[in-house]
Amino acid sequence: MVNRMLAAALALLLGLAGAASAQESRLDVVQKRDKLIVATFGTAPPLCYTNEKNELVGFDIDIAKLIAKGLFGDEKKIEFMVVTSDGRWPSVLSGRADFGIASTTVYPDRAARVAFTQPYMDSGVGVLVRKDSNVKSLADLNNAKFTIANLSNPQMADRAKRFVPNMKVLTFDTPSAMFLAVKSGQAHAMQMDTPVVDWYAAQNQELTVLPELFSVVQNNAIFMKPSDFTWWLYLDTVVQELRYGSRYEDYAAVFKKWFGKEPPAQRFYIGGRKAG
Amino acid sequence: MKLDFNFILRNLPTFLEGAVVTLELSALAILCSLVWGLVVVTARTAPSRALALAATGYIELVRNTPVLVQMLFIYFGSAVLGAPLSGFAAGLLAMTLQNGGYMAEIYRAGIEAVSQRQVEAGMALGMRRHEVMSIVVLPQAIRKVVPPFTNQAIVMIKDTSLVSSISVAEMTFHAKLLTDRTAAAYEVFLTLAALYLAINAIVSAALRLLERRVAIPT
Repeated sequence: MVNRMLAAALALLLGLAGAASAQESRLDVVQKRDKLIVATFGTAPPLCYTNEKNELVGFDIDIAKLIAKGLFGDEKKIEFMVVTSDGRWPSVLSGRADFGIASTTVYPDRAARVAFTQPYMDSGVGVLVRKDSNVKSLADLNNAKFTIANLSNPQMADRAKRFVPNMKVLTFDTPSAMFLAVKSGQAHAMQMDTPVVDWYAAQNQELTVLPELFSVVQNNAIFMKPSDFTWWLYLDTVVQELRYGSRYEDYAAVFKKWFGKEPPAQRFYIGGRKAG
Repeated sequence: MKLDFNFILRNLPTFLEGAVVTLELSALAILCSLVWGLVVVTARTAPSRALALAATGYIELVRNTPVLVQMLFIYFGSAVLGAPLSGFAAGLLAMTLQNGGYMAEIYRAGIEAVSQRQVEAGMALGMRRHEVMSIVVLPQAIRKVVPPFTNQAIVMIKDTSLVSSISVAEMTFHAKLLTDRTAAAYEVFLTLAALYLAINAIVSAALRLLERRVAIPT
């Protein structure tokens, strides 16, 4: 008897939970809340980092603000959640954040667990080195006496094995810790998205970026909990409009602000920026 | 929420690889802080005021700063000074320094729990101070502190997870990499928690056995 009542109560609860999730898209939740909650990094300049005034800034941050502006007409209706490299996945899968934008490259094995929009930017993977290690190329760097700093994701480990198999490897969970390792001398080099290594080299006289890349073009995209078609479609469409459509001007302004150059053209057959 | 148990089984070898490092670091850190704690408590309870004061200052310093901060400080600081310590060494050093402070306080509680009259009796029998300490006081004190020591040992085993931030490939480190590759956060962290639980359950059971074996008969 008790068992049957318990089973009935459980079935009811599960049914309710199922019904609620079936009906309500994250898009409705966000609009009701009148605010976006976004997971991001706090230490990956110039994409998402904390500046001297302790404000979260960067290209990714501005893109997220443009999305808030599109949703609410107000870019301030947004709350950022700063997470670590591995912490970004549970932040969206648990439903704490509506989506994540955190210097995140699309890989097939990631796409099996989270949903990605189309890419909002390209980035390669570059190598930042200490000038005092007198390294001019990847061939110089590939030496057992040198150490490379990786971020705690296996793609970095795979690339290090492929391009510089002789180097010793250290692994950290934030880009700032990798940078600190290079700056302090624990490591001689680090690999990271090209905008990030370029930014560090520009800020630090004693560091430089190697001309060769580990990877020329990769896709950076927004990620979210899968199985919410409405919400995914909304965000994917917003990214499309920013990159190629009606919001390209906003996108171009933010791109120029952080990378100091024009973004890729809206269409390959236009070539450069035409409007305005 | 659907858990993928095959995923856990498939990746168990990776976890176990990390568990070996976790166990190594835990064992070394516990051993080193037991010894270092004895040194600190000797200074702390020494007749010399300056020595006792220095030991008290040391304990307050290491107890009141986070062990993660100490690890980062030692790890990156040693590199700046031109003698980079490995992540394992920096982690072991930080954990020994901090937990040596805790252990010293645990020992002290045990020492103070031994009646002052026994000390006086020992002195009256013509023992020297260090003899009273090593023959009369410490054998009783150490038996009394097995329960708080067990507690501290478990705290330390869990604290070893912090060295994953300074590139030591222990259990949490592998879990982070695995999460980042697959975004299977629930499976990974559930397995990780279960493994820590298993290790700590075994350690505390063993120490409870020890506690019973060395109990002072009443």
